[in-house]
Amino acid sequence: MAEAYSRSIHGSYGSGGCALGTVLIPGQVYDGNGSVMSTSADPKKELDRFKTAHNDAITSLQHVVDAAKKMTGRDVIDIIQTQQEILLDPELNQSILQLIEESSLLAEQAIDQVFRRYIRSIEETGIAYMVERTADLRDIRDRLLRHLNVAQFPTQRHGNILINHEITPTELLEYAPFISGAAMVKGGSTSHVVIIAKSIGIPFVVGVKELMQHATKGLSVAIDADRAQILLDPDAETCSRIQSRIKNGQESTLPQIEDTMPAQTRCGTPIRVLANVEFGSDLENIATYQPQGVGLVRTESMLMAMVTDHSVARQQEFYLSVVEASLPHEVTFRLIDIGGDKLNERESFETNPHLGWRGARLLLDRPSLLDTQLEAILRVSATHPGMIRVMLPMLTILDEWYRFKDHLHVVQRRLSANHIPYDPSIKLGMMIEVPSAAIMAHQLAKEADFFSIGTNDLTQYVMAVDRGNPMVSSLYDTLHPAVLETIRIASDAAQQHNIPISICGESASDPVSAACFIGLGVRDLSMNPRAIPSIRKMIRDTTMDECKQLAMKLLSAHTLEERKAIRGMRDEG
Amino acid sequence: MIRRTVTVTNSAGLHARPAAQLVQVASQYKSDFFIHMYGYRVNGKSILGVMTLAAEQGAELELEFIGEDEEKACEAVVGLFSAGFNEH
Repeated sequence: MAEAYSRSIHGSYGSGGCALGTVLIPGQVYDGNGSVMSTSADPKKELDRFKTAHNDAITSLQHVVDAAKKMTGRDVIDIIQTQQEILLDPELNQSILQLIEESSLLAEQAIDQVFRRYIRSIEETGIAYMVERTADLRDIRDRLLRHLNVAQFPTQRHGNILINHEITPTELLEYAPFISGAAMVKGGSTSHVVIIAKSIGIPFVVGVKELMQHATKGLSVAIDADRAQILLDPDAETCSRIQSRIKNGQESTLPQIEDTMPAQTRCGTPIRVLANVEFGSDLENIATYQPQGVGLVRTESMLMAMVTDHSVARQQEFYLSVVEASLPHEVTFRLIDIGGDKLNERESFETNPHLGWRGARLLLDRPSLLDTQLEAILRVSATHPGMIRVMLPMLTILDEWYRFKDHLHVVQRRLSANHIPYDPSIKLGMMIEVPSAAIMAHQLAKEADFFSIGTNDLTQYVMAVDRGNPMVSSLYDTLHPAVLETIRIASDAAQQHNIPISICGESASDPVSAACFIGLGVRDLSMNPRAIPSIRKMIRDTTMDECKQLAMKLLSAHTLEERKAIRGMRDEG
Repeated sequence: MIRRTVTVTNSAGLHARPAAQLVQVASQYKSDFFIHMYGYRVNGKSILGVMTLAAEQGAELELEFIGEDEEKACEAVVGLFSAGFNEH
C-alpha cells in the first residue's frame, strides 16, 4: 500500500474513468528560443515546407471540425471555426511567406515571429476576452509547427496515454482515436479541453505538477481519473485492478436493470441519484442511466450558444426538452451562472472576477436576462406542474433572495394578466456556494424550498484558492474539514427546516466524497451521468452508519496524510 | 472605390465572433476591402487584422471597397454592421 502511493502522482479531477497504456508525448514544437537558429536556410525549400504544412494543417483542422460536429457542443465548434479563419488569414500567410523569402529564415522561425507579433498586438489591446483568444493563435501556430515536421501520430491505435504540459481542445480531438487517457500539467477543471474530454469519455487528470518529470515517453502508466491519480509503471496487481475497473465502467454504460434501479443504502435509506445536464446531447444519457431526475441543468452554455436569439420561445424549447426527457422525475434549473466576462460588457473587466460580478449579482443587475429566463421556465411549468425546480446561483446575502423573488412575482403577474398559465407553486432553491450563505444557512433555510451545494465554488471560496492555478491548486481539497464543516452547517439547517438539500458539484461523482455527503445528511446527489452506475453501486454497498463514520473521520482529518489514508482504506474495500 | 462610414453598435464590439462573420462575408467578394479606424488601416479580409483593431461599441469605422463587385460587397458588409452582427 505504502509503495503503491510512492509510485503515484496526483492532480485534479478532469474527466472520470480508468485507462492503461504507455506515455505518448506529442512531438516537441519549436520552442521560440532560437534553438534551431540557422542563417543559411534555403528560402525556396522553406517556402515549400511552409506551403505543404499549411495545406496539411487546413486538412487536419477540417477533420477536427467534422469530428467536433459529431461529438461536442456548439461553443467548441465556434472556437474551432475561429481557428479556421485564422489559419486562412491572408495577411498572416503573406507575412510568413515574405519573412521566409526576405530574411532567409527557417519556416519555424518565420511562423514563430509572425505569430508573436500578432499575439503581442492583441495583448496590447488589454481587452480580456481578446487576450483570451490568443490561445487560439498559439494553437494554430503549434499546429503549423507540428505539420512542418513529419506527423508524429502513433501507429498503434490503442493503449496510448496523451501527456503534455498543456493539451488543447483540438489536440485532444485529434489524438482521441489513438488514446485511452490523458493528463496535463496545467490545471483548470472547467476548461474547454476538460468539457471535451468528458463529452467523448476520455479519462483525464489535470493539474499534475510533477507530470513531466515522471511520465517519460514510452513508460507504462495507469490512469485512475476518478481519483485524479496517475500510477507510474504499475505492477501486475495494480494493472489487473485498473483493468477490472475499466471493464466495470464499460459494462455499466449498458442499461442494466440492476444499475437503473433507484438506489438505497444497504440499511435501506433511499438516496436520489440525479444527473447534471448541460447540452442537448446530454439528454441521451438520461435514457441510458435513468437517474431519478435532473439535479442541475446548467443553462448558460445553451444560452451562450444561442448567439442571436435569447427569446423566451427558444429557451422554452430547450427547457421543455429536458423536462420531457426526465419524466416522470423532477428537473432543477440553475439560473444563468455566468461571470461578467461572458457578457463582453466593458464594465465587466474586473481585476478579480472570481470575487466579482457573477451569478445572482449579475442576474439582479440584468433584469432582462433574468426575467426572460424566468418567463421561459414558468411557461414550461404550466404543462408539468410540480416537476420543475429553479435555483439561484452565487447567493451571498438574504437581500438578494428577496430581490429575486420580487422579480419572479413581477413576471408571474405579467403572465397572469395575459392569461398565460404557469405553476404558481414552483419550487425555489438557493445555491450554497459562498461561505456567507453556508454560515447563515439557518436563516436562509427559512426562506427557501431547497438548498443545493456547488462543491467546486464552495471549496474555492472556503480555501481561497483558484484550482486552475497550479501554484496553489494543491490547496484545493473538496474534502478538507473546513469545506465539510460548511456543508454540515447547511445540511443541519436544511434538516431542521425540513427542506431537501442536494450536492451538485463534481465531487458528488467521487464515491468517497458521495459517501461522506450522505453521512452529513445529504440525500440528493447530482452528477455527470456517467458516474451514476458507480455511485449507485457504492450506495448499495454502504450503510448509513458507515457513511456517518466516514464523515466524522474526514471532519477530523486535519492533515493531507490522514485524508489520503482514509481514501486508501476505502479503495481497498 | 466606395467609402462608407459605419458605427459599431453591438455591445461586444468587433470581438472574435463578429470579426469572423465580417471576414467570412467580405471574403465572398472579389473586391479588396479595408477598414480605417483612428488612423489605422487593416485588411478587412484578415481576421487577425480586424481583431487587432479592437473596435468597441461606439467606434466609427471607415470602410473602403475597391474592385469590380465593390457595390455588392459594400452592401453586404454595411448590412452586417446595421444588424449589429445579429447579437441581440
